[in-house]
Amino acid sequence: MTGVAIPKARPASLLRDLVMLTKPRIISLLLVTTIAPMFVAGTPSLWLVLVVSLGGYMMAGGANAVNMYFDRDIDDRMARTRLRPIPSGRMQAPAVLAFGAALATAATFLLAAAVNVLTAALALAGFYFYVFIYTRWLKRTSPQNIVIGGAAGAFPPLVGWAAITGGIDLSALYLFLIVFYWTPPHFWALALLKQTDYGRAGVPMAPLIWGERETMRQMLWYTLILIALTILPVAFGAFGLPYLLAALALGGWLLLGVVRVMRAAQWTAPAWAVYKYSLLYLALLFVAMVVDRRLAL
Amino acid sequence: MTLSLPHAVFWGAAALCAVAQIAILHSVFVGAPAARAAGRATATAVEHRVLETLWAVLPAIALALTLVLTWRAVDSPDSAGWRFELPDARAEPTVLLPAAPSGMPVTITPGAPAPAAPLVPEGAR
Repeated sequence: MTGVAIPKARPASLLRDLVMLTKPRIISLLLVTTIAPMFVAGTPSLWLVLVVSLGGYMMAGGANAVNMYFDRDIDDRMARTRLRPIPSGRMQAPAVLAFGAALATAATFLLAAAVNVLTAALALAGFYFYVFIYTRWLKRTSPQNIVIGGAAGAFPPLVGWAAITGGIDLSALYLFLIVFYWTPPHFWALALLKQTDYGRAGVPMAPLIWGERETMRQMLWYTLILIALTILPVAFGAFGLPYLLAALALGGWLLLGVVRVMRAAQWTAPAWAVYKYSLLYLALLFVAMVVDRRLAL
Repeated sequence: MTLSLPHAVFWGAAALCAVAQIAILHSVFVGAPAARAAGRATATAVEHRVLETLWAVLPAIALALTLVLTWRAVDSPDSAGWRFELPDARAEPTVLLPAAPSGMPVTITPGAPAPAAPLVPEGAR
């Protein structure tokens, strides 16, 4: 413990803490990027959508719980994480680890039995990538932690795609890359705002190591690649004109937001705007993919 | 020489990817160290130079490979899952038709001036 005073937390039920361990707000976006590809790849039954959603939630929730176990030493140094169940003393660390591992194990069996082995393997790969490559290795050692670590968040589209097709193709690869290249501008907008927190915890986020201006420049470059990646599937016929227009409009707005961050003397508000809009951006982009496919039928 | 929409989209997007990815590599290897040297960063980390290089280069390689695969798909006659069979075999693949109404005639314009040919999707015959 660091001696940082822990605010008095309201009494919380065990169930509420267990749900908190899974980070439900983050998972809601992951589920959008899981389910939308299912409707892009085919016409899934309601049962299949429910099973994949449940399995996806359990796997991502398990990863988040295990992440909280490994990060328990730094979570109580950061304002935004010190009310989590372990640093606030409401749950014991081994119990959190067991809960996370149990969720991931159950999710693996559920997806393998009710969907297919590839879907389960991809979901499990995302779990391992997040826990070991991002949390245990890169998060505390490299300013490029969320660039490479962002691959963990890019597995859900592959999971959704594999659940329908039983395989991975070029379209699925693009969905993966879109989330991969979306992560840096999204997360660095937050890192710019929370850099004091990250500095106190000793996490080498890009703004602390490279400086704010260099981080903003990289946000711009990643956003440009992201926009290019979103329109490339149109070139090989994966999507049509309605999607192309939506991707350009959504991407253009994101690019404008990043440019505003770069040009503002007081960039706090523009950075918040980019962070919040980037969440909406990804959800709407995947919805646009589904709408485009439905219109084409 | 005219550029079809799929080819224009591909080359435009590929050029954007190339420029931005080169800028990222420049930023990691030149911009970031310069910012640190100038004292614009507020913290320093013990960086593993080889690994940092790897983390910067890996996405660039993945992106390049994806663009190669994409070009093959754009240039493939079966890129949209359709195969057009015309007597004179001069039809251009229309890759912006991922799905057409089953059983409905689809009209394409061959490369050389010729009457438009009605087509029926494979599987709907």
